[in-house]
Amino acid sequence: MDARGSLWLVADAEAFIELYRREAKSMLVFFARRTVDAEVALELTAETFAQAWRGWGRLRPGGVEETRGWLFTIARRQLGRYLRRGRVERRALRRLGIQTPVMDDGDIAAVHEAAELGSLRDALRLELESLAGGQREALRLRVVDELPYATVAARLGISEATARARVSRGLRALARALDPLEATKGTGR
Amino acid sequence: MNHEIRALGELGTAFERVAGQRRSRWPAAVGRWRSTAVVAVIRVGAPVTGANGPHSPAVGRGDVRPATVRLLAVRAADPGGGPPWGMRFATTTRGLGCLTVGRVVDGELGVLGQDGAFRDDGEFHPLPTGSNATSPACGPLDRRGRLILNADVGEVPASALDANGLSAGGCLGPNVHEPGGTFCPVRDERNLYYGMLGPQATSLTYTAADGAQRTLVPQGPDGAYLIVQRAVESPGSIDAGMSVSLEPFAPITSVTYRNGLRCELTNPIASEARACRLPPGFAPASTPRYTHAQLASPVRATIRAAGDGRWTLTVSFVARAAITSALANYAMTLEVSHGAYGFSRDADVRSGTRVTYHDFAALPLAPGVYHGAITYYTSTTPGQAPFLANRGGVLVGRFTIRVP
Repeated sequence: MDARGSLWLVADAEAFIELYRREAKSMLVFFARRTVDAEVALELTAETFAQAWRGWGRLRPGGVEETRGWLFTIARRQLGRYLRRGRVERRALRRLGIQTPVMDDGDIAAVHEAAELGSLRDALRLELESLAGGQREALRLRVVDELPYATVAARLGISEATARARVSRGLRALARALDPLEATKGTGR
Repeated sequence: MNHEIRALGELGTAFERVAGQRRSRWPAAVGRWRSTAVVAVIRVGAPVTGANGPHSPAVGRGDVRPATVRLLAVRAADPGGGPPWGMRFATTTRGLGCLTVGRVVDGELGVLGQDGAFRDDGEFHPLPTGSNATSPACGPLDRRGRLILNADVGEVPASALDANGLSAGGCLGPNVHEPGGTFCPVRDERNLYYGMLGPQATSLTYTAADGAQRTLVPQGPDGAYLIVQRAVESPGSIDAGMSVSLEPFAPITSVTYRNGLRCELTNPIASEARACRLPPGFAPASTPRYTHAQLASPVRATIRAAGDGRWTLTVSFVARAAITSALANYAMTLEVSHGAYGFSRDADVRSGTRVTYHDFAALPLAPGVYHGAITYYTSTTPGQAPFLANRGGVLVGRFTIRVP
């Protein structure tokens, strides 16, 4: 705010909403194919857009691809944190006062279809043998058998948090296997 | 994707609500000793002198009106100890009310020589009235000359010296892109939530750092409040910066008013949402109303190649209506495939003068025809985005450019 004035890419809220409308589904698929979990993918999508909004005012004017590249840089960072820690950050969402909506069965089925998680699971099943026992079982129960985390934890005799951590770390270990699959899918666009 | 995903739509609606609260960044008594209730004794050092650009009564926020400056009674303890945080109010020559936050010693607002600031001298450095060494949260005064505004600032050094005070040294908040700068350790960063809720507010509930719901009573006729929490973000994260809005920010969950109205912020009750849209006691300022016929002016636009696919745009028009405060302005927009570029200059303009916009970054424009417009807008709500006002703004004129 000075005598020289300020340039913005409108870019303020309206363009951000446009960005959300344009990229949210792609991002959801991006996360779903890397976490094989529609609900986690939605949480990561929500936190990514919340962080993007927090940084929106500092984004320099650029083209669609530059903006998209910036957004997916945040997304990849969120994914990396999730795979390391086994939980989704919600700090930016909390600061904005946004609660991630709960997905119903129809939503989950739609994400599964869009991300082609069925075929991804088949491919992952073959890769599971390369994992350590704990991670392999957690991943098999959660990703292949699609059991809730509570059930995974009960079956393995561990806490739900540990189950989540094993799954996320297992996914991280299989990232190389996941990436080539994703490469043929782009980011779902 | 064949099926709509309902949850994505709901999430989008939540972002639309949040985006409506525009992130708004607006952008010597050396040798004395003072005592406070919290710190037995603290040495008073040199006042903060770092300033970020020249002051002008007719530009940006304008100059502080000295007679309006007052330190508010509200205080908040720092999680790391030391002098409490406090808040100073002032109005400006451009019709704004501003809140400046800092540490308080002996009834004076200032910053501490820690976190690298002032070479960690441990002294208290008063913040002179009108200094822009720290960023105030500003918003339009309402019709009664009252400020109702909420702000959150992420990851401010506990010294209270923010990015504008770089000349005094200190580590940087992660929102500062300064080559060679040192980020503050996260333990030295604070998240601040503060504002004025007006005289009708009777209580405010928020989520404390430990997750518990706490209630506080806004102070004085301003309904002032100030919450200080440790930042939990990693150094260098992007979750930082200032936001300003008419509506309080998370972690504030509800505000109650004298008439019994309780405004839930995180899960609004539909029956109360309308009543909560404007806080009780808030009367938006009156601004001049013009028609297109009164403001119409031919708009001249030219472009010049700047290299690397970028183009320098020059746009000019005659201002039929004067700009005399920060509550009104002209804005240029240029439509592109993915939205629009906008440009505005926050400065007073005399009626009848030719205004030229050219001093902004060269734009990446592909060959083609582009349409733009000059719009006059008013903004009487804290944090309101120009584009929001533009929807109800008055068209001055349109222009077209052709990029070869």
